[in-house]
Amino acid sequence: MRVWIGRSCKGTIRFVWIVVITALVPLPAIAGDPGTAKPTPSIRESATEIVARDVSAARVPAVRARAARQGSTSPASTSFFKSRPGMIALAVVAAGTGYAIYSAQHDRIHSAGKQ
Amino acid sequence: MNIRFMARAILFCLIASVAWAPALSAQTQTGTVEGKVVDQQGAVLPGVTVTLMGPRGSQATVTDGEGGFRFVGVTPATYSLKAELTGFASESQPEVLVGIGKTVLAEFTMKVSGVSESVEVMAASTVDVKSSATHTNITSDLLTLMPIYSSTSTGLLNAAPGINSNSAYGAQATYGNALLMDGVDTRDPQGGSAWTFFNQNLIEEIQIGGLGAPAEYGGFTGGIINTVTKSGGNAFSGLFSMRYTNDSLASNNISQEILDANPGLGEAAILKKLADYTVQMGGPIRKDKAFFFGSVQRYSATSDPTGPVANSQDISPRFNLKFTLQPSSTDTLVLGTQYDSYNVTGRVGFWPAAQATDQQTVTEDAPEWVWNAQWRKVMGTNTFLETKFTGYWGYYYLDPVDPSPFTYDADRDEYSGGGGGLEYEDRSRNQVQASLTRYAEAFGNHALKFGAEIERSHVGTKYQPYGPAGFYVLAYSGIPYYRISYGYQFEGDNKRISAYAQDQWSAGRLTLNLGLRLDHIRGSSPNSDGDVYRPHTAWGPRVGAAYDLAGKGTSVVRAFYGRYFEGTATQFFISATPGIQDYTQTPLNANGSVAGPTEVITPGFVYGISDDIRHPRTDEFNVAWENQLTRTTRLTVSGIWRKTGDFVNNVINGAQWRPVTLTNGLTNQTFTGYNWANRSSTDENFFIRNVDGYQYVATDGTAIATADPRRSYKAMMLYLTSSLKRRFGYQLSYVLAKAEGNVDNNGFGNWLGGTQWGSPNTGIINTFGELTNSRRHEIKADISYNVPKVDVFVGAVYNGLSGRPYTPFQRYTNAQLNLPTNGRKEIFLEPRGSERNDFYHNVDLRAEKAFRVQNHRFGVYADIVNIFNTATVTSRQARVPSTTVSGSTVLYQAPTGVQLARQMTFGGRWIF
Repeated sequence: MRVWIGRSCKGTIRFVWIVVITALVPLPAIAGDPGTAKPTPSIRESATEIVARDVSAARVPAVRARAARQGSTSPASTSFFKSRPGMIALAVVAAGTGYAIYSAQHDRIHSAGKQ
Repeated sequence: MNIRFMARAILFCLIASVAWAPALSAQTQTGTVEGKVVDQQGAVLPGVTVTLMGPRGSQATVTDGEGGFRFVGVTPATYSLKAELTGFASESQPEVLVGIGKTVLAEFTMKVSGVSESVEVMAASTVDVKSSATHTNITSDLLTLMPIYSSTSTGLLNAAPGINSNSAYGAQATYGNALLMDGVDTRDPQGGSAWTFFNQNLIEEIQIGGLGAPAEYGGFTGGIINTVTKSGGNAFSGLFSMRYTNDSLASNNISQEILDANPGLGEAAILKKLADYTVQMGGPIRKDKAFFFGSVQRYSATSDPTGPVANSQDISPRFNLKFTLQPSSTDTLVLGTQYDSYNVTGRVGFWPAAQATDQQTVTEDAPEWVWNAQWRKVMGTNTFLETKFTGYWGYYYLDPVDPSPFTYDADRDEYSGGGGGLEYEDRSRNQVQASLTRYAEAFGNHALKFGAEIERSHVGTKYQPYGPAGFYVLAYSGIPYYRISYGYQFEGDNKRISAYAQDQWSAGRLTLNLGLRLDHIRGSSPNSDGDVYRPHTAWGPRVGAAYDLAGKGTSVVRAFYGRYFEGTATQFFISATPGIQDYTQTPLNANGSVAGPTEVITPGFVYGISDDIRHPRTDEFNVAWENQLTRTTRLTVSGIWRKTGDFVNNVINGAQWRPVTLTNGLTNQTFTGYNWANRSSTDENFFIRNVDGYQYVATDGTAIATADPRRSYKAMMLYLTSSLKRRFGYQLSYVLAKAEGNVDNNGFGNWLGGTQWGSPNTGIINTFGELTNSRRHEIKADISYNVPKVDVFVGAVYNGLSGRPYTPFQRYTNAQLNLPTNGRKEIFLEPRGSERNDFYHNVDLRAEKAFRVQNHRFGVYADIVNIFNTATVTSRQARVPSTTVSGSTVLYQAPTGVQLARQMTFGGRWIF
């Protein structure tokens, strides 16, 4: 079906793009007295701020990461098997199953009545 | 006054009465949670959201106009229950234990509150005020704490009051019990013994019952062991367990005095080596929707049993896999399988255990597969549908280690030479079951259940006692006389259709448990035309009542009458199908060479079987009073009466008996025995029927006596239980009982297919009295204690049992009685059960040190069996004046069995 696009639609589309681009720009948090407008930072300053923010944030995950690792040892999480206890559990299961399979064949008695 | 102040000012007086009501589902593997929500004034509260949270997710419902709620088809596990309603403080109960076939009753009284506060509630009552049944539940917690272990798990029956040596409430040992694992009947379709063995670490819960059982239970006259195995849940779980012992950890309790009396006892029966490990894991495949559980065990045990055999080894690798699928909140699909590769060396074959050495044993090749498919459908809060397809396939084949011919010296009662005992057994069993549970209200509350079952099972048996050699040598005083050949090869099929209806009807404090079961059983063989075994349809009524004495769910009086019928078994009819081989003898020279042609002494023949047979049954009447002493302790007092009848066995139609004078070897007094006067003309007239009413006839046609087989059991049982989850927990029981009659409750041959009723010598002379499994006094105590500060668990099991009765007998000669086989020529010299073995004491102990690291529990433990190394004589030589064992004369009343010696086993486990 052919769709008629009129002038009003083109204007609408243009408006949408403006909104999207605007939303993608990281807007500085507004703090302090609303009457005191902060100067618009330069790109260099913004980048510096972003990097500093990221660097400071990177320290936090170290704690969270440890907590996350501790949390992953809980059997409730699928990441349990990536933890040390989980890997040990898998290894024990594999070893126990493997030996039992070996025993089922090696220790099997074969009756003359089934040959 | 704000809401927060009101909440702090008001004392919460939440009452949640939790009572156990094992009503309906005994063959089912699920339970029910139901109850009511009211406010402080007692008015019902509709619209309350009640949530049941468990290992495989949660389900919620809303209370109806009466404030009631119900969850049906709940898989046994520990749940938490929570009731929420805006404007009221939420109430919760953290540990709601749902067991097999149990109904948990929860009543909430909700208080007005503006703040959502949770209050944990402890159970106020543990007494079941609706059921007429008596169960003993063994949870995995009990098995963890106590030194109770069974390599086949069916031995766990003996942990319950009233059950010893696999004889439950005076019934046939082993064969009279129903053995269920996840709904699969694991019994041997030949004679009802345990066929499938399974790992104790698989157990989630075991319910042991049989007293007051509802109509959905059938196919037993003894007890029921109903096992639910573990399943996966939303959290990954695992168990790694290891047990080890060897002969250096064992003691010897065979005294020189015992050895002098019976050299054949040799050293104490101990485990020379045990290495048993299990690895298990379960968890989600998809949260709340699909779960898996897998288990692998390798059991390896080498033992030195009583007697000359020095090495008997059992190696059993077992594999289990189970999937639980919940595609919707109302559907559950369970698929499970087990493979067991069971291998035994050093098993005693045809030779008596007292004479066989390792060379005369047999090897056992016995693999099996077990399968289990179940679908549960919840249709609202009042209807629950359950369907199952279960079964197994397997075999055990015994081959002699030494296939060369053996010699039996009848004069000396001694064996020599090669082994024997070739036996090939094939089995399969399949069952389809469906049941519908419906809750209704009319003149009270009804919990109705209807069900149907279809069973098909197959038995193939080939038995050559002489082994591959084709014969054995019969000798007298060292001189060979004959080569003997006989045996049999049978095939049989059991077919059963069962149906039942039951209702638990509650009105006020009174509950009636009414039910009716019918079993339609047929037996046939591929080698015969049509059905061979056609008993009357068995109708089994169940009528019980329970009355809540105080109206508070803390004290109940019960009464019950029920009729139970035996399960299917090809042994009832197999002799009435082709398969018995000719009994032949070939004369020999003194040097063992053949001296003449082979003579058929008795050609193989087919037994006759009655068209008018009633399947064996037991009638039971019991009364009980159960009372809650404290919140976690309850006392039960029961009285039990059981009577068994309609025994099926074989007689000899047309046989005539001539009185002969025999001498009692104990008293030197004479008494009258009976010689088979017309044996040559009636020796193929064996006939299978209900034995009661059969007349033994003299040569002149007059009646000598009438067969009157009977068995009864009377008992008074006291049972005191306190939660084992407390620091100090215990389960104590005392049973005063007596089992008497003239059909013994021990072993296979006395129950069906035996020779007892073939002649008046074994049918009527001194046959009535106390039975082998009649324990006058039984004391059982399971005690656990958590030693504070060091976190060491100590569990002890004490068993004190009256010794088993036995009866002196004498074996007379063929010339005197003209009867084949030794068993038919052995006559009791005193009334059955006139003598009794010593009172038996045994204490087993477990001490475990547990370590906890986050969600992981590690434990190391030591078990000591028979910690005091007592040496109670458990059986005595009953033949007068003596018998011969390995060339040694063993006198009457010499010991032939002694309590297991003390042995320590170490174990460790990791559970998460």
